[in-house]
Amino acid sequence: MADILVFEGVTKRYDGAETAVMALEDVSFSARAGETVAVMGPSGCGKSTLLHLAGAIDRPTSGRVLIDSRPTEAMRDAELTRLRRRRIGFVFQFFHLLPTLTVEENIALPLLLAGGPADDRGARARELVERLGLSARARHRPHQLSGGEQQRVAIGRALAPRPAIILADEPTGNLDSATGRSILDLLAALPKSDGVTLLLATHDREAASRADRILHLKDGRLQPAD
Amino acid sequence: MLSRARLLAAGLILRPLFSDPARAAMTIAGVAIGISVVVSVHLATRAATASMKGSIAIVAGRTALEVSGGGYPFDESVLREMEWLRDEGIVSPVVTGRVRVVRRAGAAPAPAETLTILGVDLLKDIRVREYGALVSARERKKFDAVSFLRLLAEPNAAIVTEGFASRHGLAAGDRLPVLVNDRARDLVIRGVLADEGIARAMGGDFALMDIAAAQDLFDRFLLLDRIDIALGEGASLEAVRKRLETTLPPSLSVTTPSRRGTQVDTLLAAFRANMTILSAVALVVGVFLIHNTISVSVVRRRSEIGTLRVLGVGRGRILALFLAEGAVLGLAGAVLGVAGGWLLARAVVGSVTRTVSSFYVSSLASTAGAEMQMDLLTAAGGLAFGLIVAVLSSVIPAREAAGISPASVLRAGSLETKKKRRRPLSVVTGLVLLALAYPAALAGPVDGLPLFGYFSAFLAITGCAFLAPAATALTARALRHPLARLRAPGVLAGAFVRANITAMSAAVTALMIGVAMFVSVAVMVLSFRETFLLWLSQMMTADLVVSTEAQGGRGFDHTIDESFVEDLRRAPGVAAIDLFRGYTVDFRGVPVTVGGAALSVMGRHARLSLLSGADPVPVLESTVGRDRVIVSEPFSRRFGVGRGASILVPSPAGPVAVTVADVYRDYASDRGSIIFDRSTFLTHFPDRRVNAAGLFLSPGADLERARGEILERAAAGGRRIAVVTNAEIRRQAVRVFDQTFAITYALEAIAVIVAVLGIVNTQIAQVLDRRREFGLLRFLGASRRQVGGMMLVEAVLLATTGIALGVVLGVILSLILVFVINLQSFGWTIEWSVPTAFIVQAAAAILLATALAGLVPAWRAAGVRAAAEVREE
Repeated sequence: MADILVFEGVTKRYDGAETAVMALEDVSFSARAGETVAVMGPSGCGKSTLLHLAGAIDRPTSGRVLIDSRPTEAMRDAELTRLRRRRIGFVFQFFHLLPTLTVEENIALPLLLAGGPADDRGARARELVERLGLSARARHRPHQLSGGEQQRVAIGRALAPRPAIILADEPTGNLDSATGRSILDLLAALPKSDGVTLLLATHDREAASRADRILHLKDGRLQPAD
Repeated sequence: MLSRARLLAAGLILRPLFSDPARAAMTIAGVAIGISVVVSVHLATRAATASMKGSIAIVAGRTALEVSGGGYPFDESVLREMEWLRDEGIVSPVVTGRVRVVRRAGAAPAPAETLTILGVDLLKDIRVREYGALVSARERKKFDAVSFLRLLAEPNAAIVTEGFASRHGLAAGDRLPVLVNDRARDLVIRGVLADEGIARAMGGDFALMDIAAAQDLFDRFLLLDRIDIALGEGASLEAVRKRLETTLPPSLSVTTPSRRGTQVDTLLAAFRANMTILSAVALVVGVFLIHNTISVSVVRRRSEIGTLRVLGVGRGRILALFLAEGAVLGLAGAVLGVAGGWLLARAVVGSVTRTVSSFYVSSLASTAGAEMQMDLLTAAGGLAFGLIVAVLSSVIPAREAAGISPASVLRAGSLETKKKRRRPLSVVTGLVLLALAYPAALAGPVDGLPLFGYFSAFLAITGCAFLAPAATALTARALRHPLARLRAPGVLAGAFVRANITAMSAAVTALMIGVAMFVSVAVMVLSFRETFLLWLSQMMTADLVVSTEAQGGRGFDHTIDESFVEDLRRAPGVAAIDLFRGYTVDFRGVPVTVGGAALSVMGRHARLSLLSGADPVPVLESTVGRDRVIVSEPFSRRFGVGRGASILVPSPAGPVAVTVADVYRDYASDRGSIIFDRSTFLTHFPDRRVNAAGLFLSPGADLERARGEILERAAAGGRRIAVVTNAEIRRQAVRVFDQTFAITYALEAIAVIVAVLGIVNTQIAQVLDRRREFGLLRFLGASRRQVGGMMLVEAVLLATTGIALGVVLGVILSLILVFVINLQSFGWTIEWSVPTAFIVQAAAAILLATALAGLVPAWRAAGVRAAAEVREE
């Protein structure tokens, strides 16, 4: 299978007012379609930066990031935005649902931003609501949901545009362990069911163990596998 | 304890304010504008009034009693009957009038100015008034009557003030060309009075002449305008007054000079009240701005407040903290507002004074050069007002803050839910207040002021303010489908507004009030304008109007010889002539116009609009040769005198009993008028000179030829007259009308600007509050344009709601303005009509302004970066 995501000697440096922070240094790896890759490492090791680069949120300082074989470093902001909209889904530790929208509307949000027809948006959102077991909650607002339910909505939102890559940043970090496990089950099934590449940033060894591969990150550098 | 309070204040109030300087500045600016408008209107109208009263007092000097003919010159022989007064004090006869200063060739350009002439018998008058020193190039010499008399010995000699001389580049020995009646005359400047004492009165625009010279100048041989009496020590004012009243002819009245000051107050009361109320609108909008800012603070700091409550901070302290935040904003705004008000007042005092003097009290005093003074009371009042208003507008959000329970903090959205539950109650309250506005509007005036009218307007505004949240929710829901057409920005903006009605509706309410006041004033002024134009076209039908060049506008100071105008009957193309003469006289203590016109000519050539609806022709014919008059609508309303009533009109020969034939509409002035037919008029008012003549030409006559002929005849006789065409007069009238209401528009435009600031203010707060949301949207693939677009749509949605509500409320308020406030204040019946096109244009302009202003927060929102805002740790 083709590589969906490729990092080639990627370095990311943040230039502050006085000091520069080297967030990633010479990171290279690739992920195929349908593959689950876990990224592990202590706080501040560069996990989030790696996810941002993989999610076309940011461009590398040097090296190349290829998403769908397309290098991001030369892309303008509008192109990155379009790429994110179509090919990438995000799942966050703190869910980050829009409090003003209902469950169904939150799930349909990426489709709304992509400008698809309302009927298609609704159909796709309802399909996902049902699939995620949220039918009874479809018209509720996020603050009326439990943490686990909110994370399901977030997963639905990530799946809505049928992305190539789903980036999950500590998706169980804010959930109790039982709920966390069920969310992990849900996420881990996605590469098979939806053909997506799952990049999972986590502290949790158990979560990482579900991955096909584990990348260890320390001080911005990939560590050799142990 | 103090340090803890200080810590809380710094952490919860000051730091957030400083961290958000743009928004704090905008709120402060809103309050400052409101306060400065109120302060400046107060200062400017007060300065105008004070300058008039000041002039009256300075000119009066030691005068204790005045004898006057109630507006008519009287025979100086009456002085002989006052010889007994020599033992009691000084009797100083006065001839006074106004001349127009002609700009001299080569002189510095000065506006056409009116110069008041005070003609006195100096030997007597020097003991009544305080004259300063005489100024010459080399020295200042203290006034001494004999040297002064010598200066004024020749016929055209005048002494002017230092201020006037310097404005016109005059020195002793110069000639000053002036226009008086239909003639040009030259005054010879014989001295310049130092800028002290009486020279300060009327802004220095007066000249001193010998009484005989003044009589000659004004063609008032052996006539006087006034006799001033200063009483010596031991003389009893009441005894002297009584004796005068019993010995003088009934046409003369004895009054004190202070009465004219009181008249100024009475005449200006309605004007000042309306100006103050209009100015307060900007402040009302400021109230909502503060309310809005504090509400946003409370919403944003819910978790902080909850945390503080958990840590044991009491409700009272939380309440005090947010009231303090309001107070800080209010005080800062008030300080700037008081300073700004003073500057603004300095800028507008001239125009206010001119308006006031030309429309209300030109008969009482001239007013150039009003002095503006800021006093401690006004400054302190402005500060206190700003502070109180700010604290009061913070009460509701501060109470909300105090009501936050430690446990509720984690549940976002509960505030909005609570508010939603209260919404039906607030709708009912709003409807009840709105309904109560109707009976309030039906009540009559209190002391001539439309107090219940104001109250009715207040009820309508408050009622609509209570309805605003529900209306905002309704609009957001109703516009769901149009919004969906705007795709992501529209859908997201609609969802946000629907979910945050409370935070949004204060800005909507502020805009609603601003727009409502603007619309109501526009409806009132434009209705008035329509009514005025229609009336003008009916009344002003003469093809040419002949008047003196000296007059150049309203007033009856200058006259033309009747023989000259009578000769015009034989001018080519002239079919009929209407002659007019008017006087400003005292009627029941208030100055009114008494005039004579050719009413039968008017009946044939003009379409006088009578309040009774009767056919004007027979009514006007019925006045010919009889003691029947028509009175203006403001006169009828002010004195409660209607058709068929009998009134006593003061005349040079004493009061004349007349019957009111009917009441006619008159929008030229809110001063009352009593009009006789010229035939009867001349029997009671024997002076046959006229102020103006209206010429009706025969069909097909050449207007310009007739005008040329008249001017030629005038030039041949050495007369300085003005001949204007019907079209010119109408244009001039409309120009005066528009100028009069320009300041009204300006005041309301300020309110709209403040309200637009409110929307932008809210949006800027939103940008700060919702950075995480914008970042998230960017994560999910929203483009900059979509994020910015969403903010812009929100601003436009809020503005649309505010403007729509404002137009509705504005139309309601306009009814109150037209049928209650205006009618009770000025006595004019106005045909109410809604200028739809104007309102649509204004609404579109305000919407556009809001959208343009909304680009700033939209741009700021669009610039939020995804990675920076959505952090997991």
